[in-house]
Amino acid sequence: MRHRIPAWLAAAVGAALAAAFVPAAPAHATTALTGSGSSWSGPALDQWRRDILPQGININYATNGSAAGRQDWTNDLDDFTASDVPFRTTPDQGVNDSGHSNGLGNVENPRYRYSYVPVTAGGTTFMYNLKIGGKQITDLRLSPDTLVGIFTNKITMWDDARIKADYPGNLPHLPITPVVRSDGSGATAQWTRYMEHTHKAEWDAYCTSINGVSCGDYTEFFPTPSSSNMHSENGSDVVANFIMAPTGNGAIGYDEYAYAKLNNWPVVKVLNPAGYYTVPTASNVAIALTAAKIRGVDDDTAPDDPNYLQQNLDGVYVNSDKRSYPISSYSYIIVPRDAGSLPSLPRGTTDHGGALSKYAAYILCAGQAEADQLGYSPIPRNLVRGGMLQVSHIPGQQSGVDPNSLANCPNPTFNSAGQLTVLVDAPQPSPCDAKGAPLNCTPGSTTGGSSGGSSGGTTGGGSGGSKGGAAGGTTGGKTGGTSGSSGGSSGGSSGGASGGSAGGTTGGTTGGATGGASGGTTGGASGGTAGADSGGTIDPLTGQVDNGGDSGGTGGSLDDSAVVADVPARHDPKLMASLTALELLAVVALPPVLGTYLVRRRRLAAAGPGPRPGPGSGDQEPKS
Amino acid sequence: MTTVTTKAAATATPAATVGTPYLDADSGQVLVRPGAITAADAGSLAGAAAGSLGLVWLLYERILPFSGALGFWVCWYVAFLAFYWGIARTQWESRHVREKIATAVFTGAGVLVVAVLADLIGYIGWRGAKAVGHGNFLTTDMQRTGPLDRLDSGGILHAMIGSLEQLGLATLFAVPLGIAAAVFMSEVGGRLAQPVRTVVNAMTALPSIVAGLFVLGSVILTLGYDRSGFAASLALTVMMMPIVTRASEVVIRVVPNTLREASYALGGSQWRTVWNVVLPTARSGLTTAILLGMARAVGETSPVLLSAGFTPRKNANPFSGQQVSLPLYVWNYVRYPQEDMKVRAFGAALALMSIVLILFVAARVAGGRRPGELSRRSLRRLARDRASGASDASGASAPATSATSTAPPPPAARPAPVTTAVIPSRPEPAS
Repeated sequence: MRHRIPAWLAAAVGAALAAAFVPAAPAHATTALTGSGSSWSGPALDQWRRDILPQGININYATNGSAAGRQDWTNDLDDFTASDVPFRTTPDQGVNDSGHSNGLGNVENPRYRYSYVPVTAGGTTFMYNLKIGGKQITDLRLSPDTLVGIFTNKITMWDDARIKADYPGNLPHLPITPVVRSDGSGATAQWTRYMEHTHKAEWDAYCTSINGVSCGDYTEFFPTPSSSNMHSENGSDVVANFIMAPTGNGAIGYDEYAYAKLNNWPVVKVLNPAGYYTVPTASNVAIALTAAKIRGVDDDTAPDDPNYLQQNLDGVYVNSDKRSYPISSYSYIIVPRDAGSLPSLPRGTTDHGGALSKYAAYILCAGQAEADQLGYSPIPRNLVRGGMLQVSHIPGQQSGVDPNSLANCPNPTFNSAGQLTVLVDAPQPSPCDAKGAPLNCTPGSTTGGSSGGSSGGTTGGGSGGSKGGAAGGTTGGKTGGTSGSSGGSSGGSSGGASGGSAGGTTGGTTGGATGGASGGTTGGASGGTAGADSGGTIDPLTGQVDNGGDSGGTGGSLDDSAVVADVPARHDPKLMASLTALELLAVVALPPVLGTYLVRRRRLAAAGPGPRPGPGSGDQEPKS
Repeated sequence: MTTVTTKAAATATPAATVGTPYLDADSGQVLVRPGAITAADAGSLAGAAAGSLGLVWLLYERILPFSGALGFWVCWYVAFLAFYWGIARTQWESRHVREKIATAVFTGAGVLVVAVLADLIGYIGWRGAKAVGHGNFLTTDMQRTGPLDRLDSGGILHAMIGSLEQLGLATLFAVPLGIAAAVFMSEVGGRLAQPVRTVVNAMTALPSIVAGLFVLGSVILTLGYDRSGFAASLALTVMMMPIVTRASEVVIRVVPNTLREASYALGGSQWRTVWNVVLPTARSGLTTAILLGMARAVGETSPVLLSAGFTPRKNANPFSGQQVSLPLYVWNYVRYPQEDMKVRAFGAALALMSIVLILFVAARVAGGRRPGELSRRSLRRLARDRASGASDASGASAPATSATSTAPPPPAARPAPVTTAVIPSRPEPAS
């Protein structure tokens, strides 16, 4: 026994080593593809992986981050790589010198020829946590100028005049905690690219003040000053959790929309060039991206240009559609290409290419129907076309979709005739979301303040009235415009009976465009006085409210004279509270202390005349 | 507190009620057993706890603009100590009060550690229970499950297989290497021992990502071997080995030199001495060393991420194809925005903790014998030897075994607490 152990060990180790270095035979009945990269696209790619599993394609996708994914591509470890940003052709100027020497943000060498294919789209979403008098604000709206001011540390308090210009609410005197990503991330790249392209002076000045140079076209690493209220967190989920934590009051951070949407957390409505405050819903981002251009497809960028096939979002930033969410962007997958100056990807065999092209075609077409549910936005037709053109260049492609006609491509943003249905079907913003509209944009409400206000008011204005209007708005917006005046009257009557909240729900559900008007006057009048607290909490996701804004909100007449928020300005409670606490402590502590003191004095007095030796007996009294 | 008791009661139950003062018949002094809990002790504790809880609740939740559970309990503890001090002062002398307060502080520290651990496990259990409650969770992989699927599909079977295989391979590689290195340093020695020790000590602080990068660079990129469970186990070996080596060296060093000398005196070679005397004596400690190494390896994410890749598919072959382990599974899915995916990740964390617990208990049972304590097999062989030839099995057959197999003295039963504190029968005047 004793001598068999080492022999057995040696045999096992030897066998393991021998087995390890025999190359595994890639004999699979199905094709297995390996991918890695973007953590943002990860959940969508995972869902699409599952969807095409019946086609005999196994995909192993590791969400190790865009930069690590691109490194894997360079090392020939991937069949495809998902990345939020393209390969870096110039050093990332947002990284300081020590970062560069640590290998952050340096130029990347793709080594093998590749194309960029758009896969997931989304808007840079600003999650925030702000309470007024213990009530969560859910309808914050800001202009890009203000957001840039916040993220360049120019605006540091929530009651800054520039914020109040966008959101004339009773904002607290509270420092702003901007939350940024500490790791290199696509979200940072998309937001900094927007700032560089639309607010060049402010953003360059901020970068220069920290790194000595501007941040270039974009940076994946948000530069943070050494001392500020700015907070860095590693990962989208950590940013979201930081903001949503009870201690996150006063925080605002950029993140992916999925984290807000799936957690029912409010996001900032951002002012678009058409003068409307919009949220990054699937349709709003898709509409914005109809103006996106792919270099080399929509312009004449040469294939050997380093920016070939990259996104050009300048048209998105200034898209003048009323629904457009201005800070919209999309991420890529990097796939092999059949021609080019670089060598071909060694892994990119024909059967891998065939499977990959089927996967990519599924992503661009039918897969986009799940985008909204997953927390992304569908990719519109112009980008699908550009993507399919690249898919047709994958060696051994079998996608079966013609990039130019896109005939059998069931993408939700267009129909088989090539018409952009998203432009027709997507709901128009409510007039209450227009620039300059008051927060309690509700008709007939004279006394009712609304802290859940504006968003509820967009559609619920037709039915609800005060705080309850939010609830009405949510459902009303969805089904509005179908029924008509009967729904409106029912909304009005129940609104009068049970207050704004309930009335809003009923009225909104069945109310239509005209019904909203009549329901709104009744429901609003009584809701104004009986408005419940539910408004602010039922309306966590301002995006949904925005969907049906047009139909439900036609009844709304803007009322400038109303009170913005009914939260009374609280006096500083600390002094009174501290005094009360001290008094209470004194009440608790003094009697025993006094009692002990008295007892001791009595004892000492009793023992005093006794035979206590020593001259110091009198001194011992206070000492003990 | 007055310690005067009636003589009748004290003599009737001299030692039965620990903690209550009693009159010792021999010395004529009133004695009390320390460390025992009297009704007054319990009452003071409960009163202080309840009183401080009420006061802090009133102040913290109702009056002052504070919120948060952590701050509440910290304030409560501070208030509790103050209350306890006040209550203790009214009945005991100052030395006794100090002792009570110190006891409360250190008990509090212990309770805090346990509470943090219980909170951790409880939170994971609470979040993950929904996933584990589904029968498919432990029996399926994630191949047919996407972020939009509910909890009734998908599971962690592939991750459990991957974790066990990678940990097993890593243990297989790291334990012989680590113990051999420890034996070299403590038994063989020489000029090389010190540099080896320095390197091993430095390697214990090796960031785990570096181990992953090492395997990525050497095995995957240089040798062209694809990402696999085997590559991950190599990275885990790099993590485990220094820990096993260091801990083994410490326990091998504490083996008494007299045992070695006895073995040499009986003519055993160095190899025989190490194999039959030193290592069996240190067996319990070596088990701990291996457990420490396994504990380090089983929870590693970053080296596994770099070397094993990620797959939603069950892959029982660690030598070919990507293989996922439980920490990687947790890390990957907990970042999803979908709640069901997070629940799956917490369920996987729960499974990981259970597997670790089972492994540790099993290893303790298998290897935790005290030095000199014989396994059942050895006992049987000993009995056989004794029965066959008691006459000629005197010294030549197995000197080392018989040297150590003399039955060790049974662990001394804990002596009854005989220490008593002398309390004068008459209370001192309050100072």
